[in-house]
Amino acid sequence: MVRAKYIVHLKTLFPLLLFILLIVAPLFMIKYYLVLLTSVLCWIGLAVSWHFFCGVTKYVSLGSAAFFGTGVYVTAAFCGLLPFSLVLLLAAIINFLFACGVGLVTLRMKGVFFAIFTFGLAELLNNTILFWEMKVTGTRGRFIIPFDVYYPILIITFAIILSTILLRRSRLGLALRMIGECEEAAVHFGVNATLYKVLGFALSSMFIGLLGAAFAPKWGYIDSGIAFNSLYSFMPVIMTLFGGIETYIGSIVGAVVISLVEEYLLTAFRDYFMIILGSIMIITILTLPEGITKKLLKKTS
Amino acid sequence: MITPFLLDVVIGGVILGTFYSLIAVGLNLQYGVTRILNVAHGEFLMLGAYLTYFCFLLLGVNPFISMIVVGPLMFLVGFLVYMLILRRLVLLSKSSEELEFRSLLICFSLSFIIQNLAMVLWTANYRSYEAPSVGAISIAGVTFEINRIIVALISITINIFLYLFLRFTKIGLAMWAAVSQPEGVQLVGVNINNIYAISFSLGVLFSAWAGSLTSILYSTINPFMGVPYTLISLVLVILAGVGSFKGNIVGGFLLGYLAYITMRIIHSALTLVVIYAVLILVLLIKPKGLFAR
Repeated sequence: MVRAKYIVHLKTLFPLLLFILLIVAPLFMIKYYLVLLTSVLCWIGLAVSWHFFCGVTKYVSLGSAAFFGTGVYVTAAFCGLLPFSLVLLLAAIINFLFACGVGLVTLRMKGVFFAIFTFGLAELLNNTILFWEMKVTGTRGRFIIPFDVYYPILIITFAIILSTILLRRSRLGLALRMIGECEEAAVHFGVNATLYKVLGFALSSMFIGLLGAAFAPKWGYIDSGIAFNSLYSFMPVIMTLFGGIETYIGSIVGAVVISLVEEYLLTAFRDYFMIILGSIMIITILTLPEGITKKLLKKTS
Repeated sequence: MITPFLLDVVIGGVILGTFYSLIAVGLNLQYGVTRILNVAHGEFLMLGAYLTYFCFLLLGVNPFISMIVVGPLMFLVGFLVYMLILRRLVLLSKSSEELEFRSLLICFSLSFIIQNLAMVLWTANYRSYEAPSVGAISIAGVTFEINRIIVALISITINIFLYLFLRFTKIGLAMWAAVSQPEGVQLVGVNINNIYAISFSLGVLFSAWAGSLTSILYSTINPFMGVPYTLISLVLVILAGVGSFKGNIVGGFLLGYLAYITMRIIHSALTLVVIYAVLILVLLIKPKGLFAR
C-alpha cells in the first residue's frame, strides 16, 4: 500500500521536477545545447500531437508538414505587425479552421488513402506558394527577425502534453479511442464519429501549427521548402512507431531518442542522413512492431 | 489561330494520357494485387531513367532499345526488394489494414533511401541527353516530334500486352483473381506469395519502363525527379479505382488532357495543383474512384 502510494507520488513528482529543471535550463546551459533542447522539445510536441489524433484513432496522417508550414507562414506574414502572442493565437485559429475543412473532406476515407491525401496536401501547399511567389509577388522566401524561441516552445509542448493527459478521459478522448478500436461499434453506441474525428484532427493540427508558428523565428529566413519539408510529416510517425504507438509516453521516448540520433547523424554523416534514417525506420517496423518502450518495460519486469 | 492550338491540345493530350496510364499501371497492379501501396514508385522510375541514360552515355545504346534490358534488370531489383523486406511484412501482418499501413511506411523509407543513394552515387545535378531523333512531322502547321509519338505507341503497346497477359496466361489470371478474391485464389491452389512477388516485381518493371520513356520525353534526370510521378500515379490509381484496368486508361487520358491544357494555358508549375484539385473533387463525389468495381 505504502509502496503503491510512493509510486503514485513519484509519477507526479518526476514530471514536475523535470519541468522546473527545463524552466531554469537557459540559466546554466551552453547555447548549443539550448538550441538542441529547443528542437528536441519541438519534436516531442509534434510527436505527441500526432499521437493525440492519429496514434489513437489509427487514421494515419502524413500531413503534419502542411499544418506546421501554415504556422510558419502565419508567423512570417504577421511577426513584425502583431505581438508574438497574438501571432501564435492567430496561427492556432487559422490551423484549427483549416484542419476542420480538411477533416470534413478527408476523414471519410480510411487507411492509406487518408495518408496519401494528407501527404499530398503538404506538397500542394508547397507548390502553390512556390507558384504564387514566382508569378505574383516575384520573391523567394521571407525574412523573420530571429529571436530565441526556447520558452514559447517549452510552454506549448508542455501545454500539448498536459491537454493530451487531461483529454484522455474526457468525452472526446474516449470517443477517439473507441473509434480507433472499432469505428462501427462506436457509431452503434451513439458516438457522433464525424464530429469527434473532425474535432480531434483539428485540435491535433492546431497544436502542430502552433509549434510551427513558435519555431519559425529560430530560422530567420524561411521559404516554402523549409516550411513544408516532408520531414515534419514523417518524423512524428517514425518517432511514435519507434517509441510505441500505445500511449503518448511512447511518442515522447521516441521523439527524444530519434531527434538526438538525427542531430548526431546530421553533424557526422550529412549525406547519408536520410539513408540511415530510412533504414532505422524499416528495421523498426520489421523488428519492433510494438515499439521500444514496451520492449524495455517487458525486459525490466 | 484556334485550330493549330486545338490540334496541339488534342494530340499532345493523347500522348501525355497514354504516358500517364503507363506510369500508373505498375502502381495499380502492385496495390491491387498485394495491397502494398508502393510510394517508392517514382524512385524506381528514376532508377529506370538513370539506367537508360547510362546505357546511352557509356554504351551508346538507343534508349528505345535499352528498355529491353532495363526492364528485366529492374524486375530483378523489385524481386530482391520484395524478398528481402516486404515478404516478411506480408507474412507478419495480421490484417490487410495493418499490412497497408506498415508497407506504406516501409515504401516511404525505401523512397528516401533510393533518392539519397542516387544522390550520393550520381550527385544531385540535372543530367540530360539528346535522344537520337527520327525527325518531326507537321500536321496542319503543328509539329510533333516522332519520338513523342513513338513513346505514346509504346505506352499503348505495353498496356495491351499487360491486358493480354492478365487475361490469357495462368499467372496473369491468378493475379487478376487475387485483386478481388485473395482468399478464393488460395483455395484453388495458387501460391499467393509467389503471385505477390511477381506482381510487385512487374510493377517495378513497368515503372522502370516509364522511367526510360520519361528520359526520352523530358530528358532531365535527377535523384528527386520521381516524386511528382508518384503523386500523379497515386491520383490516377484513386481516380481509376483499385485494380480497374479500364479506369486506368480512361483516367490516364483525363489527367493527361487536364495536365496538358494547364501546361499550355497557365503554367507547368500548376499541373500538380490542378491534378490534386481533381482528386479532391472525385473523392467528394465518389470516394471509391470513378471506375471502382
